[in-house]
Amino acid sequence: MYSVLPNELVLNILRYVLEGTSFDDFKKLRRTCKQWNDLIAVAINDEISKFFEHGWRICIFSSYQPPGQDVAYEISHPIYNNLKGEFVFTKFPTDYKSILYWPLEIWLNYDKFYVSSFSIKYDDYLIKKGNVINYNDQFWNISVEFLEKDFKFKIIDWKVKDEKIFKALTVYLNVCLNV
Amino acid sequence: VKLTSSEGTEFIIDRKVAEKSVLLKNMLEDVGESDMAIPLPNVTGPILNKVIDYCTHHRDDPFVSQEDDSKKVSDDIDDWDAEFCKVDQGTLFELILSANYLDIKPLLDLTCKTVANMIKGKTPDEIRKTFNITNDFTPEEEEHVRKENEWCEER
Repeated sequence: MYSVLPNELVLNILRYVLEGTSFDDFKKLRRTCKQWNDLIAVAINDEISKFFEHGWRICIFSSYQPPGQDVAYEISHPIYNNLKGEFVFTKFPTDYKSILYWPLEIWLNYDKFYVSSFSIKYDDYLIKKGNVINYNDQFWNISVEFLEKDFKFKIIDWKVKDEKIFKALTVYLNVCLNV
Repeated sequence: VKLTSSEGTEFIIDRKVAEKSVLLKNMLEDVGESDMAIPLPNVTGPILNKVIDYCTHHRDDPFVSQEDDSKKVSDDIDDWDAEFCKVDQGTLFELILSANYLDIKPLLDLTCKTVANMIKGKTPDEIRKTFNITNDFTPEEEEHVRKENEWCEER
């Protein structure tokens, strides 16, 4: 029966399904059929983009850079790549001096990395904080938390593969969205 | 206002009720007063009857435009609307198509929410059964998706 509905309307329905559903549970529905497999990626991507359009930014404050220079890295414009099952982020360092050391992309690879998550206590103002811990020479553990009035956006505890000169960061991010 | 369904059945409704549809509202504004029936070739009589019921019940509700992107909340359906949506799946999907064609955003939202609520909490297999969706993945493709989802399937 779903075949009578054009993609636009199935997508509209899926957006309502995503409301109140975690991305984890929502992604499970990809197995329903090929149409859903494609449209679920669109719905996730739209939801994340919408969030970031409203001014959301993930900032990573790294103390890795030269001593005494904490650097904030802003990540925006995430795109979900359905084929790879990855989120792709474009990263804009706020300290442009460091741009030589950092790539313009961070991508998330669900296959390789351990993930955990934690809840953030609701508060009425924006908090952006995070830290980067040199887990070993291979991985960096990055924690970021942020929230704002009327929104609770939680997670963020991921491990990053350090390619030494930061040619790329492979990140595993578990996103759980509650509005 | 006179409306004609796809089979040629004629319906006469108040202009205020007709104007719940942005499509009809624009047509009426363009054409002005006229005795000519507006043909709706994409809407059958029984579905048009349901749509008119909905628009009549909600005739005094404030106008909601397509651009209004309020929070998508699928559990804020009132009793009358919930009862209105207690129809077979075929009718529900026809209502979605008609609401989209006639550009009646609140009805489109209501019917889409209703279907979304039928999906929530179900597994892909259950969803396929419920909506008679064909699993068009090859076994290899399905395995590939399953593998990509492994990290969340195990939870």
